[in-house]
Amino acid sequence: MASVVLLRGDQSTSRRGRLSRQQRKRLREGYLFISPVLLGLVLWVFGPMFLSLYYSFTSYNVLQAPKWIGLANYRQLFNDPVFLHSFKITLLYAAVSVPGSLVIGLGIALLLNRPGKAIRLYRTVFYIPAVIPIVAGAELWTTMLSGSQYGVVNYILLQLGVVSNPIPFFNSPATAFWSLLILVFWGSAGGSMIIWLAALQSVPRDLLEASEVDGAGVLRRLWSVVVPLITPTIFFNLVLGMITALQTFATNFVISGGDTGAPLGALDFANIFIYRQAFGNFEMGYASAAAWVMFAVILVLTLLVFRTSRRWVFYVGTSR
Amino acid sequence: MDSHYHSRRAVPSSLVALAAISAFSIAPAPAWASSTRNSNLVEPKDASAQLVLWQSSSDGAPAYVSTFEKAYPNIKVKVVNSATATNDASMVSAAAAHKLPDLTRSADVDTYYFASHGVFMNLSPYMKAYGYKQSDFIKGIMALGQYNGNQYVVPRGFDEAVVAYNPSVLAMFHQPIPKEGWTWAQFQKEACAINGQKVGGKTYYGVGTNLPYTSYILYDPFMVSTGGGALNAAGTKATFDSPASLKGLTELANFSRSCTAWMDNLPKSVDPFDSGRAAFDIVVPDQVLTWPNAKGTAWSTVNFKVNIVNFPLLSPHPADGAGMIGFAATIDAKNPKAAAAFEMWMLSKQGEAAAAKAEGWIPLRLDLTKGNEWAAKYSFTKSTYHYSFNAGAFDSYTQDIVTPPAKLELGSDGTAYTAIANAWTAVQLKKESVKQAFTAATNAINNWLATQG
Repeated sequence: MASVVLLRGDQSTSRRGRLSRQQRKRLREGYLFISPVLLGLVLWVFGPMFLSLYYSFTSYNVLQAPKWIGLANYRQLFNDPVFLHSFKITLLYAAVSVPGSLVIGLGIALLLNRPGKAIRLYRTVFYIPAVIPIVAGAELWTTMLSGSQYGVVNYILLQLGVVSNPIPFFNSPATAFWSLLILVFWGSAGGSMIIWLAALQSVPRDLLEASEVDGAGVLRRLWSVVVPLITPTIFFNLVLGMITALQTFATNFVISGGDTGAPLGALDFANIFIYRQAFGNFEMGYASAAAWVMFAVILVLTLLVFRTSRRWVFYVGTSR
Repeated sequence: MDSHYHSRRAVPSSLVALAAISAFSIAPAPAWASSTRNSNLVEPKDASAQLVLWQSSSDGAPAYVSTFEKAYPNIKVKVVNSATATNDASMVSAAAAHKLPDLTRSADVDTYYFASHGVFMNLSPYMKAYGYKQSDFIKGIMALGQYNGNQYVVPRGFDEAVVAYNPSVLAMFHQPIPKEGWTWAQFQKEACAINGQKVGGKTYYGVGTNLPYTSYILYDPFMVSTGGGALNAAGTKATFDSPASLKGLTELANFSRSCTAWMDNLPKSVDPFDSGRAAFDIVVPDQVLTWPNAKGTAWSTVNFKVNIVNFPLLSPHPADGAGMIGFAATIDAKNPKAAAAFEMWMLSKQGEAAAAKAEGWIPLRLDLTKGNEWAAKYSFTKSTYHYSFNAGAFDSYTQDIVTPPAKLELGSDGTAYTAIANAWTAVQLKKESVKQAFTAATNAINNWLATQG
């Protein structure tokens, strides 16, 4: 960045095609200062990325030299019912969890977007799940939602007579996916709530008051005034939430007790599949191919959201 | 064995093997070796070397390493902590970088992978040079450290299924205390009689099923007992779906449904044995060893006295499952003879005694497996633990143990493990019959095996 600034500042010199000794020295210094970041980026980000791209075209188990097999890994992936299942449920998870988290986070923020001492306490309480480590949260919820009669939630429901048999929660493929969503909404609502609150507090009060004078009710004001003004935040939360959802790993790993995606593959999301191939079967080539497929999917979806954002994201002070 | 990694070192390995077969060394065999046979593979005690051993921090390695260093004063062993959860990944990375430690712990499920890729040193020539015979040790346990008929891992701590019982629950339901030599039919009768009964609003179970059903320690003996097995004789295809295997698996599933907490106690749930609501639990000795808590009553979540009894004999073919964790010397060992000396010392009477004292590990040597000797001397028998170590029960272990083919790598991850886990879950949830579930698992495993070359 330093070098960019430097060059912009010295455009007249650049046009002449020459840099003075002093300018060259400053340029070198600039590069020197950013070299640790550049080096780190090349070594630890781009290097592994491109290596994994290469490995995706190979049969590679780490202990033997990679063997070039062309597109065989990709062909196998698209004919692998286990991967296709993982891919499908990962997309389903993103499709349900992202809007769900947005709505719940916004809902809580709307409730807490008012002054008062108690409100501060509530905000803190709602934010606590966001600072609890993912693994701890997952362990907590596997105890809460234990499928046996001894699980906290089941015990209460049984005692109250709400259910006659324990709900299997994470133990049945029919309920595991939806039980996971409970955990996810609990964990993500607090984090997004803070961002929603910041957005809500930036909505000009005069606009809200003017609409109220014009006879707009609460819902009308929310839909026609608040929501358009917070679309940049919706956009931000949507993109980040989507990327996070498509990369979900740790929660499922803890709940399934490893890389099986148990029960019956209900939590066998794409990253669990990739991990199992890489560190269970030591098939790094196959795992790399799956990782690149997921990378491409995330990239395309993100670009799509960016593309459509021109139509629905409104930035104050800009015209369409 | 044709791997790139191995072939890079094929010449020295071959020389080592050749030397082992042909040579008798002038170096004296250690006093603890069970034979006077010499070889130039036997490390003399005055030889100097520095070894690095990767081991779990919770292991008692410093204690038995110290005893080894007294036996070999010039060989120093540096114990480096390697977390269990990441040990495999660390090993693979180190192997790729040719920076493996001299010695490492290795689980049974790792043997095939690392031995077949040339990461582990073949210890068979050293065993021969040191005068050990396979028949000196528990055959089934030693097999867990073998690949292609050669020993790559020296087993140390091994896990064999045993049955823990709660005398109070048995008394409550007027069931007799089990005795050694009891049969599966007796076990089944007692467990089923108790299972599902309610006293004071609480449900009691026959067996708590602490041992996960995905553990081959449990299901492998059932398949073997009915004439089946995990792989075909050629080791090329999974055979969980063969009629004989399905018979054993069905027997286990039926028992589980009728006599255990399995159906009410799905995976990732609590074990009713821990809270005193089950008469029996199928556990492994390793769990037994970690039972004592600070109060010295039993293990951390149990506040009653328990006892253990040998796994009941399965009719008509007595069999028992086992797993192990042991030590391997790696192909990157800077001094292979010194590394092998440590491995061979672990097989000696002195090594077994030191390990038993430090860890409570049950001996592997047949001449030391008569339980009473160990029951009287070592840590797992302490009376303060408030359970009786059924030393006699362990005497019959030697011939009963069956172990699955290492090729399936039935550890805690990977395709084979996942397929078995899914099969049991499908049966447990009554979504599929045993036949349907294990046919699907067999197909999944075979599809994976087909990609392995």
